[in-house]
Amino acid sequence: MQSENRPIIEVRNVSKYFDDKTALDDVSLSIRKGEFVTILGPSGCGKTTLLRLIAGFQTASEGMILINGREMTRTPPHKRPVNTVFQKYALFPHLNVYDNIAFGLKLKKMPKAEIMRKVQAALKMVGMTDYEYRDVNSLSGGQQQRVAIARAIVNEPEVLLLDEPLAALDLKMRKDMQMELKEMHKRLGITFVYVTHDQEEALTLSDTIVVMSEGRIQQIGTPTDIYNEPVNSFVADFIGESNILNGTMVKDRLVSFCGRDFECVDEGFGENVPVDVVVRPEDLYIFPVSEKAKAQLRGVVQSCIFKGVHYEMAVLCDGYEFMVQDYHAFGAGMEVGLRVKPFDIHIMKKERVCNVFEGRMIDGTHVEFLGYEFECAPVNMEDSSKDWSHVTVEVDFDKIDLLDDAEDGMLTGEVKFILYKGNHYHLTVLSDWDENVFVDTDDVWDDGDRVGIAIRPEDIRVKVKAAESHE
Amino acid sequence: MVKKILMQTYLWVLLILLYAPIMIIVVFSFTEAKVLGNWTGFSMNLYKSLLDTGAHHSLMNAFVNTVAIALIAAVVSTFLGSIAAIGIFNLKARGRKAMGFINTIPILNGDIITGVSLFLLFVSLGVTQGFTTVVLAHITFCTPYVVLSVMPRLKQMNPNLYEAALDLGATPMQALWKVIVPEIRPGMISGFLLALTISIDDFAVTVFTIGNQGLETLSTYIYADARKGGLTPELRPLSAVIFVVILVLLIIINRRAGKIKK
Repeated sequence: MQSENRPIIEVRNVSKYFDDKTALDDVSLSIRKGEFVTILGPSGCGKTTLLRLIAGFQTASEGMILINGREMTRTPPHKRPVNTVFQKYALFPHLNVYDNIAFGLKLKKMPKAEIMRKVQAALKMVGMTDYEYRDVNSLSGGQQQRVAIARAIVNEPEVLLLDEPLAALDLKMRKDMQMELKEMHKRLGITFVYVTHDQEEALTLSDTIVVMSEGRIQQIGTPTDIYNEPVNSFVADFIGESNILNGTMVKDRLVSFCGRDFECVDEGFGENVPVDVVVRPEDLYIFPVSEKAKAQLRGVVQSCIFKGVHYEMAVLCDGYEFMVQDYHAFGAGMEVGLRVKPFDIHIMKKERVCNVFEGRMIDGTHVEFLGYEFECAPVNMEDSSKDWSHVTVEVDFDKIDLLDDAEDGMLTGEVKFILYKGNHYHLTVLSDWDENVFVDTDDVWDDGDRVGIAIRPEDIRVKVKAAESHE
Repeated sequence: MVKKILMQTYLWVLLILLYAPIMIIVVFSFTEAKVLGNWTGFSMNLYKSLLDTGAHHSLMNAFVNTVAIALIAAVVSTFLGSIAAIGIFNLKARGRKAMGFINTIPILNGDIITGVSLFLLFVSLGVTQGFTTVVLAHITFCTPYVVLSVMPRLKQMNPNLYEAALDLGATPMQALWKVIVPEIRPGMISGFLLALTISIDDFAVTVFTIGNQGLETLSTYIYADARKGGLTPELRPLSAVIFVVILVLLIIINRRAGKIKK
């Protein structure tokens, strides 16, 4: 049937701005009927905003939202065929369990007997039979959340929106509720859109995961796709544990990292192209060096931590640190060998190989970009056929200095995202000019640190295009 | 030990000094003497004559006016103040702060200033001063107190409640009545009681807005009476009654405040 394939929710090029902050940046998403979709991302990535736009609590600044084929971008929440389960439950404290659940049905002026029947069915669904006349404030967190779910599903919405519904529960309760939610999704057959920052929860529950960061969708795919084939280093780092390293694709099926060549299964990147290499810690085989198995990498165990099912070891090989998970413990100081199977090496195209900024030349030795006038190596500006007011500035990741004291830098910024790359950190720093600066450094910084940014004149490469005839 | 006795003594001396005037009025309301301070034996006659409509008609009249003004002012300011609080609460942080500040000015402002400015306003608008102007004036200075007592309830409220109601199909108006109002009701009741007591209590603003049509409230009546020389003896039982009523109201307000905190 055609209606089965029609998306129940379509988000088309939606952006949302709060004053001068961009919460969502050109997001497009299509959700099929009956799917369990999880929107996953760190806090502040815009996932809750996206959910609130679908629920109608906020209105998109740009773009369009369709629910069940009807345009609903500006429809108020009470006219949308969706219901929401809130993170903090949001039960009405002045009403008992029954009246909370019956709230929506009473507004629809449904006959009393039918309300009674539906409320009881909903309570049964969430395993809370006989709780009708309890005061909601006397219930535990888990019970309150069940009532909140019952209150939403009793209205038989087309889509159930869940905003981190389990975040406030303790671990054991969370695991139980995850299973129940999955079961409920199967029985109800309605579409679930679930927002969470917990990657494990996302992998467990979803048919489809939407990974978000900084207001943009990074990747959409099934849990296995997302885990095995992350499109970029952000996704690889956020989902599960991983070793992410700089590498070079020597040719098809051969990648070089950590100072040696590895066979892999990826093709089509070209020859001698810089790439990001991902190896999951459980895909690294670890064994004593004395063993006959041929070690691809040799290293020394730095630390060994017991994690319950497995041990987690940090192994230093030629200056690169690898995280390895194994059922056997190898104590700190032991010399070990590592192997990885070709199809366990995942190659990702690098999003960028150096910082690229738009700028303009001020004079022969000064260029303006990132809202600051930098001194640069002398540039011969005699060629007037070139457009010197629109130049491209390139700076290598490792040529940017971060300073503790924000005042000492030429400009300031905030550390937004930290990626460990085996032998250095790759930082994303949001400058106060609102442009990202990417930095490779050996120093340890924390998320949210205020830093000063400095660039030496000789490290600034200015590239100029031929002047375009603008008119 | 000595320190403890000193502390206790200090406390009791302070309390006695604070409450002595009221206690004297209450005690002497049970005697018939014309002049305060003379004890001519226990009698309930002053209470009886207070209820007789004949002799002290104007005193009872003033009392009825006071209560009527207080009730109207309290009801209207509770309504206005609650709506204002919801509005202020939903402003952005900066606006909320500014409005909160503006709201406290009338509270901190001297009554005399409020009175004079309202008087000037009514005169410049050419409004005849009387019952209506007193009620309007009382609404003016009661409303900020209602805002102040409703605001904490809104702040404690789960911010998603209103959205949850909308989500379940309530129109914004239904969400307000079925969810927000029940949530802030305790604050509204406290605000109402507060407005009631403040209004009954007021003299400065009333005297400026009451006009010269012969309208009297308790405070203006007593003032005029005292200036004529000698207070009407019936004032004593009346003060005693008002004191008890206000005391009861205050106890209710405090108990409610205690409950809200829990």
